[in-house]
Formats: sequence, structure tokens, C-alpha cells
Amino acid sequence: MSLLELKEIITAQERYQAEKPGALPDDLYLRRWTSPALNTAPDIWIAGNVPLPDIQKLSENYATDSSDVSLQSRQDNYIYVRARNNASEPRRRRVAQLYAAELDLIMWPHSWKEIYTDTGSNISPFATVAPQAVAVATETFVFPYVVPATSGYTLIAQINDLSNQLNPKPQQSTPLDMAAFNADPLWASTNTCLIPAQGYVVKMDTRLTTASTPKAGGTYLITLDVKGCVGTEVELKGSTADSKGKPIQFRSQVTDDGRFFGSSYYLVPSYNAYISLYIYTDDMKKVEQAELTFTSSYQASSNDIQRAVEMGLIAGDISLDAFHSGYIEEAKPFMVLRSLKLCAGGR
Amino acid sequence: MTYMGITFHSNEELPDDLYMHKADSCYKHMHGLPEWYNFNAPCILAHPADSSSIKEGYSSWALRARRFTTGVELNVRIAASNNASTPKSNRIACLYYVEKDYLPFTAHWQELRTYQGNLLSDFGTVEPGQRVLAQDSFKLILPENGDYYIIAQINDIENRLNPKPPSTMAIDLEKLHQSYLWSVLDTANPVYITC
Repeated sequence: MSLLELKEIITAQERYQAEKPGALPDDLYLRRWTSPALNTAPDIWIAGNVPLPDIQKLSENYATDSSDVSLQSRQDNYIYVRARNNASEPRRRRVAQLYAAELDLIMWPHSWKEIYTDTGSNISPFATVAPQAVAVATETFVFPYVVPATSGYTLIAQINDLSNQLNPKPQQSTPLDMAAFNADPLWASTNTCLIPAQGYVVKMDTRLTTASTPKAGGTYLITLDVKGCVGTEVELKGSTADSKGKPIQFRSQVTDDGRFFGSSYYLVPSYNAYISLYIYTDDMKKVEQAELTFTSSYQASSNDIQRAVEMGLIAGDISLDAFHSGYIEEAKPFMVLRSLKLCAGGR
Repeated sequence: MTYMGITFHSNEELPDDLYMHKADSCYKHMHGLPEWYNFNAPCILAHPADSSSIKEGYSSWALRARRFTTGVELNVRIAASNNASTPKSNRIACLYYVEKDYLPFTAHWQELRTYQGNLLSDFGTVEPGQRVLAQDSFKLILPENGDYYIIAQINDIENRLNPKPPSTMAIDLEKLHQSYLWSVLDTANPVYITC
């Protein structure tokens, strides 16, 4: 940590103490600024509609606020929560939770919409957090397809433990004591505004996971087979970059039916991402028969294929170049043999 | 008949199970159904949360009282009848709303929760021929800008009878409207029409 960063953290701590009188908890906590902008929570990091390639940078740059407090309407938005451990011992089993409420409904917890992570969970766990260390909750929150709202949204983050005892959500039937809520370092909220979308945005979704077996790691061909939406533009976006930091994303015009888009990505075992699929159109009639088929297929190495041919497990007259070029139809028998084929959301 | 996760029945073929009835049956035999027929959903009842207009249960009066003011908290209940010859239990209702233009795309369907915070409401045990309301009310606050449909679903607790269709393709709206396990209501035109 540089001296400059240390100084910024101390300054941040002073700001916190000035605005939230009383001791910091002997636990993880969230910061909230009441100046210069009302209700800004630097530990709720809004990345908008482009996920961060490396979320660990958020703990390294603790003194930096989220650069974007806007949500992109009609898109999935990616949000991260970080916290600092004020205890003198490591803290385990801590989680972050996230909610969204329309701006004027924050005092009614029963109106809070629960935001799930890219694994489909309503909690994002922290790894063990060392004393005074800053950590980022390990799973990405995905605010799905943000519907335009007149006033915009407030995002509300909560520090809790796995057993829901440290800081349970307030009773739903009573309005919040906002003064106490604003002073509570286990809660933070931040107001956002919405960036409007152009035209129609149709969203579909699926999930990309790899098996936990060590052999499941490798290069995968991720493809999108597009039917029934000629004249539109399609986009695929993953909530997490691939295991080498390459964002999972491609976007293209659909000029004829049955178009096939794809790219290769390196995925480790137990990889998980939420996949957002978008169709952009100016005319909903163009998408009445829309069908997107998402497939991800393990790409075998040349050595693996050669050995399989030698063992007679696949026919030798199939061109090996076909495998290298990602012709997944031909590769399927071999991939099934190795139990490494992965298909998420495909039929 | 099952088509990509939606169970469909012809108009004359009620399921041997719970079902949601459609608009008045006399319209079924008209040549060319009017547009509102598919979006009238008399099995969906609603009233402002601060009134008690459907406490007395399911009635044509309660249907006529339906209003879907945006920005107001609404209390929504789902009615179903049992067409089987035996009692049915473990049946549940789910409720969604969606912007009108996006009805065929299930990723756009916004799930609603009951006042207990659940995504489903149990019908309890329903005797043959009995019409009941699902036990818990759903809470709905429609956003203030936009036009919306409300979608009701009958399913079983194991999510086998009638799962939500997959989100990677546009669903066939004609089959959706034909199904007695799905109902769609136009919130801009909720007045129940009888003949």
C-alpha cells in the first residue's frame, strides 16, 4: 500500500467518523458519504452494464469511489459490494446482500427488490477478511433488466453473517427509522439515476458453468445460434470475464436467418457466469419468432485428438483441422467421450 | 400437450386438474374472438391494498371492481377451479407483470411476491368442482409509466405441472392464451365483460 493510499484511507476514516458518530463496529462495515453528494456509498460499486474484468482491484483501490452512479435502463447492471474489517481479528462467514428500491420507497423494506448474484444466490460471501483489510464480496450482483422508473433507484447494501443473526433485514411492516439506518455501518445506500435505452431491447438469459473436475479446465468455443430476428442486432455478455481476464462479450448485426456467432474463451473448473443475451430492434415484429441457442463446447487439444484417433475412439478420416477450427458438430463424439462437453441453456 | 415447457389444452378440453377459467364461455363460439378475450383473465382479482373489496371472495362484483392504478399498492388474488373428479392439493399460483410489448419474452416477466414474501400462493386442498382463491395475496405496485400485462400461472409445488417457459425464445402467444394454466390480464382494460 502506498503512502498516498494510506493517507486517503485515513482521510476516508475521518470522514466516516465525522458523519457517523460513534464507534465503528468490531466487524466488517460499509462507508457512506453524506457530502458532497447526498447518499453516496463508495462501497456499493456500480459498474453499469459492463462487468469489471477484475473485481479484486476494488479492494486495492479502496479510496476510489465508484466512477459511475448510473444504471443503464433495459440492461442487466453489474454491482459489487466491498467492506473493511474493523476488528482486530479475522472475520469469517460474512456476506453482503443487495436491494433496489424506487427512490421514494427506501423507508419501506417490504418494497425493496432483492438483487441476486450471478450464481442465483441472494448473498455474496466474503472470503475470510484479515484485520483492517478491505475485501470485495466474491460474487457479482446482477440487477436484471433494469426497468425504467420515473424516479430512479436507490441501491441498499447490507453486511450480514451466514446465519442471518448479525444484521437481519428490518421488519417489513414498519417504516424504517431513517436516522438510525443512516448511522448504521452495517447498511449503506446510494441513489442512482437511469440512462435511457434507445429502441426496444429484448432480453434473454442463460448460465455458463463448467464442471468441478480438474479436467474441465480448458478452451471452450462459445456460440450463439440466432434464428427469427433478421434486421436486428444481438449481443451476448457474461457477468464474469473468462479465466484469463478476457471479457465474454460479442455483438453483431443479424443479416440472415440462422446466423452463428462465437468466440473462444479459457475457463477453469467450476467457472460460473450469468449470460445476458440481448436483441436490439426498432420493430418488435422482427422478433416475434426469435430464438437464440447458446452453446459452449470444450475444444480438445491436437494431442488429445491424435490419441483418440490412435485408440480408434473417433474415425481417423475426420480432418483434424476441423477440430482446430471449432467445428463442434464433428467434435461432439470425442467431447462426450471425455465427459467434458458443457452445454448451458442450449437445447 | 406440452410445448417447450408450456402445457396447452384446447378450449373444449379442460385439464383434469385445477384451471383458470377464461372470459364468459358464450364468446368461445363466436366467429373470431374479440381481442380483449385473451386479456380479460376473470381469475385475477385486484383491489387497492387499503380497501377490503374482495374479502368476501370471488364474485362478479369483485371482478367489476378491478382497477389497476399505477403507483398504488394493489392486493391481487388468483382464483381457480378443480376440474378433476378427486380433490387436488399441492397446487400453487404464481404471478408476474410485464411491459406489454415484451409479453413473449419470459426474461422480462417480473415475479411478484405475496405479503408473506413468497413467490407462490398455495390453493390448499380443492374439492372436485370447487372454485377457490389461492390463500395468500400478491402485492403489486405497477410502475407509473408504461402499459402492463399481469400473468397468472397455476403450477404444482414440484414445478412439474406447468413450469415457466425458457427465456431463450419468444413463446407462442396463441398457445399461451389457449392454456387453462395461464391467464393474461390487460391492466389498462380490466373491466370484466359478461354477455
